[in-house]
Amino acid sequence: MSWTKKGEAMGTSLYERIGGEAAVNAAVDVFYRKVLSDVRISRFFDTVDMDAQRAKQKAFLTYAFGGPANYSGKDMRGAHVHLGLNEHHFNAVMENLGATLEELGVPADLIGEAAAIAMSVKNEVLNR
Amino acid sequence: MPENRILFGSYSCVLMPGETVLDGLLRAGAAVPNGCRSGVCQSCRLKATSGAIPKVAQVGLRPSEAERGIFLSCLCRPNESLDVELPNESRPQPARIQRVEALEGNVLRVEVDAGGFEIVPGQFLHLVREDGLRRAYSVNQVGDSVLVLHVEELPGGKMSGWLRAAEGRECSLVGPFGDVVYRPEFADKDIVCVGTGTGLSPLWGMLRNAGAHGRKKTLYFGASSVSRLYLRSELTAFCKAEGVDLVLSAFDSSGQDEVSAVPIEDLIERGNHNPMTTRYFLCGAPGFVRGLRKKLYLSGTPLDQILSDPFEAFV
Repeated sequence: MSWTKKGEAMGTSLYERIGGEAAVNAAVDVFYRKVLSDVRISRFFDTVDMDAQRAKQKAFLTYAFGGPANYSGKDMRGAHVHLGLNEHHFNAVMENLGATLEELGVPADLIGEAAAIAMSVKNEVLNR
Repeated sequence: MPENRILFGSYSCVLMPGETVLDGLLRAGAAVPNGCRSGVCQSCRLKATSGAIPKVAQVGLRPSEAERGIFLSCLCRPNESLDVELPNESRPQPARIQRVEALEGNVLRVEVDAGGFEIVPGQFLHLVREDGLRRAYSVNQVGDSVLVLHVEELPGGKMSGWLRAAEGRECSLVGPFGDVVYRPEFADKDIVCVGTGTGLSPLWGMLRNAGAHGRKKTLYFGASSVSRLYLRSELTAFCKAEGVDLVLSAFDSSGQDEVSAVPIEDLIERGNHNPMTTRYFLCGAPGFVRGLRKKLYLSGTPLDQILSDPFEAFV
């Protein structure tokens, strides 16, 4: 998969520039495998229903890529509050997100934009 | 806070905070079928005729079933009131235990006279005793009206203990369930089956239907001891006739006589199966099946190429 920096000046959405649904599909298994193997956070992802968990990762990546996902701050908070997450967990997920996109050859500036979206819900995710 | 009322025939209950539909209805005295109470066995399937079902309570169901309002009551904590009923396919069909044979390795071969019960080898059913005791068993063979099950005799096992002497007794069947079925579209990839103990039963059943499969077929069969590799000579003959590579493993093997002492997971790794072109079928103890599924996924096999029926214990 190759990404080109087209449409920058025209204001095309990040989702379009990063490759849309095809990019999400390319990234989801890379990302899910990484978090399952990351001892800092694997326990949050290591569930019995792998299909459902994979679907959640797909939804997260769609959101981080600026794609169609209607999560309110309340949804983000409510979905994570019972997990007892801290700064280290959040950072570990961000690291895996960055590593996934690097591995797939996404240009650094697009990675930065996706990271900014993920960072924007940090307080909700950590219930601050 | 509005109350969530569940209506099931003549039974009605108001759910306590955090209570599942199953627990609420049982509390109200309704005999809702149930088994593992953890969303695996699907005994507790109900159909909602009114009210919204949280997605988490439809895990493992086919999209067509979820659309019809089928849900797992042991996982369902609704946000509103529901009207529910038993789904058609959950209604038990009468059957009779025709013959019970004790095989080696603490396994019973159970023949059930099942009339027109629709099921394919590899799928599983629920066998329900007259008093309501229920267990899930995979089907190894389907004859004219007879089904063959392989049942492990568990120490103190309520159902397996009863089955041993149950020739001639009436029972009922519910189903079919499960993903371990050969479909023509599976012709595109190699097949690797992995079973422990009576996990062999559905895999062997499925392989019976995979005769026309043109690509490689491999069966890994493992047990805690060589003596528990039941029906070994019949299995060996079957695999030879059908072109299935058979790999046997047992903890207490001396490593000779074609039974490896190497653990199954390691044997699979040595098998060098191509993750992209292999479809896996896993059956047996839940811990083993789940661990292996995760391992296969992590080493590159797409999740939808790993089909499994973990043999979850009933509560």
